[in-house]
Amino acid sequence: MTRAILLIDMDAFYASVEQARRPELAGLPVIVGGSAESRGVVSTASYEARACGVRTAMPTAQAQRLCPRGIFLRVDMKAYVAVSKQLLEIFGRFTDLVEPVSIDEAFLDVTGSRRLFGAPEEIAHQIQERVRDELGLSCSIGIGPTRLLAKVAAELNKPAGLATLRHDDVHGSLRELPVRKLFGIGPVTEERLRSLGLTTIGRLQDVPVELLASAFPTGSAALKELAFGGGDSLVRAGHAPPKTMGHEVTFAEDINDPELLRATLLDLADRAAGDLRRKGYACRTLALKLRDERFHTFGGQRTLPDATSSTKLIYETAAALLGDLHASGCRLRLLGLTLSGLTAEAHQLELDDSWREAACDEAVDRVRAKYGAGALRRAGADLAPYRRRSDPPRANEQRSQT
Amino acid sequence: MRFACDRTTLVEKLSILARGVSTRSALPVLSGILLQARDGRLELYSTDMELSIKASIATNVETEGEAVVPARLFTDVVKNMAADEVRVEAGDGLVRILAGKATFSLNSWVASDFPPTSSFDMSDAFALGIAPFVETLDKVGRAASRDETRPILTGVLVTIGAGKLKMVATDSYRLSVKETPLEGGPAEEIQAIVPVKALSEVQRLGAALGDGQLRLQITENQALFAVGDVWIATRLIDGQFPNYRQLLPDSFDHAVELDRAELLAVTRRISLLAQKNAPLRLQFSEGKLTIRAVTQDVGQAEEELDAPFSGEPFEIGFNPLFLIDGLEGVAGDSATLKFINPLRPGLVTGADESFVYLIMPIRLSS
Repeated sequence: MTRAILLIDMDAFYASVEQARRPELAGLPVIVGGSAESRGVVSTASYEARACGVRTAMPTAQAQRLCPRGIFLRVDMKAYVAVSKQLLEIFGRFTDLVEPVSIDEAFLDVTGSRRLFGAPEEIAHQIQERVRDELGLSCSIGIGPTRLLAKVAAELNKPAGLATLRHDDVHGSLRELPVRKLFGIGPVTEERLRSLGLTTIGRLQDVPVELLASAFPTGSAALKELAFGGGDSLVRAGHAPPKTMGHEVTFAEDINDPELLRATLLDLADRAAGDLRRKGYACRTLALKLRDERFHTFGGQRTLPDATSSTKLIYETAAALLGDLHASGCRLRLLGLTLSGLTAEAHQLELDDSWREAACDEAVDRVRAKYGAGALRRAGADLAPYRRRSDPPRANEQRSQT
Repeated sequence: MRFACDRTTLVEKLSILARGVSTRSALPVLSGILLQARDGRLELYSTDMELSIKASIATNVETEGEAVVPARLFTDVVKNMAADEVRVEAGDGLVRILAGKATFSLNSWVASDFPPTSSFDMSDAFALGIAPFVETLDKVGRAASRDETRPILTGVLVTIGAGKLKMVATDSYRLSVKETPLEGGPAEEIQAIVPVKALSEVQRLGAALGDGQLRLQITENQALFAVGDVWIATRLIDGQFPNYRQLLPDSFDHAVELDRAELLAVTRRISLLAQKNAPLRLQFSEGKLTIRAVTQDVGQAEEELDAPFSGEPFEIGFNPLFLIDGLEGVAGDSATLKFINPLRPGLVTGADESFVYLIMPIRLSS
């Protein structure tokens, strides 16, 4: 039986939530993101703002130039998380196979819901109606027999759209789309494919796998699978286990002082390790991302002999890596730390003093769980240049989880 | 070289020698077994340069001599012969094996290519009972590390004095200590870090013999064991063994005595659902212990035991295999689990306090 998978993608989510709770903003260009003074970037722009050319991840200062009449708001994550929960509740009325992908996106497997609620398109309509009537928000829904096709379909008809891709379309309309529409093909892969002349999905389907393998020795099979609509991995109820966790920060001013960079790194490590522990994970690999003043992005990674969730060990490893990567001493505008190789709750303690670190981490976690993330900070991290005690939520920092 | 020998006896010895053969060495000759025929005996040697094994068979030597045969193939050929007696002849780089009407010729190495093994000179050896040695090793050896990146932990700290034998092993996650009374032993206490690999061979040979005595000699850099008509030589591990006394906490906050057989059975059962590194969760509350395991995408299990526990409930996680090793090591009907908190080591002991097994927990997410 062909599966019916829905990908629901909220339209301009943060901005739409703001417009829904403040009706006076309806129809106005709303831009949610960090402040221009702290070199923040745009998190979400309403469609009115997008008409002026404002895009996600664009520096807020640039957005202000493009859209001088824009309403610029700070990120209110608490409000968005609350709405996201309400959304999941609505989705749950149609199927129990709801897999949230991010705060504003979820996969639903409605294969078994058709007898109750009708064809997948009918279910999608009902969901759009409920989301609009109950929350005042609009969403785009893609329908497909695989997760990948549902995801591609959702992009076809934004905003408030509904589109279906069937197995047949893999050899029809899908062929005409550019390869970057395939979830999993990022800018780097897209560029390498372009250098082979593979700009459309159809060309990627047709290229001999041997030729592809010469450019992508390990990934050619996966690329081929994507081009033909992706694998048939199932939608799992609940959050899929994360593959990475991390934080990055764009500095208000480019810096190259190693002490300040290490302080920043301590703060990033502290928060990333806290995320790990809160969610019951340990990591084996950590990667650093650096961006210099000429917007050149580079990085590196280290793999540990054993999985860990210790703030101290993660920081010390990251600091050593930073020392290697930043040997040139160039000025940096961005520093990011990503933890990967995540394993669930298997942090085997050793018969040495490492339990003291674990006990310390645990005590810190408990205080923060009770009194908030700001209740306790690593003294060393207070030097971090973007840290200001009075600062409300720091929108120029990005939390990532994939 | 030319000798004739009972096939079964030869196969038996060859399979013991196989454990000393090195198949991954840069020196191809180490994948062979050195045969030396003289004085009415066949002596066999294998070595991986750290562990050397020697065996001896009384046999009918027609012409003295020596050769190195490819261990695996030679053993297979002898094993597959139909006759009860095999004849072996060596010369011109070939070893011929004859039995009944079958003839095999195998390419061989010259004996001078084989590295010098231990002299197996045991003139300063002392005797000790096989049973206490095997029993102690069985409890302790499994806590030794198999990870070669920390060589010192792949050894067992062996202390032998008059009337006592003590072994200690740790892989940094658990620590096992056992002291056993001994008949005999050296007058002066000796201590060495012996690779667990060699000890496992001694354990295997000793367990097969059951009772009797083995002989042991420890010199500055090697240990020699004689078990029946097999000799094992191993280099000793250099370095400072972790100060295990310092790892043992002075006191514990909780001590729960349980029926050992029941606890072991429940632990084994629930461990079926502690796959993919998932911890076994021991949850203590007033009067009971609940053992749980959850494996993502597979399932979960839990079982409750009556337990004399009182106080603030707490939960502690362990690698299930580590806990099973400890519970198996405890002799007697009851096992006592001692704890401080979920981040500090737990202790497994029994009525016989000469065995101590300490395990570090797995940190559980809150």
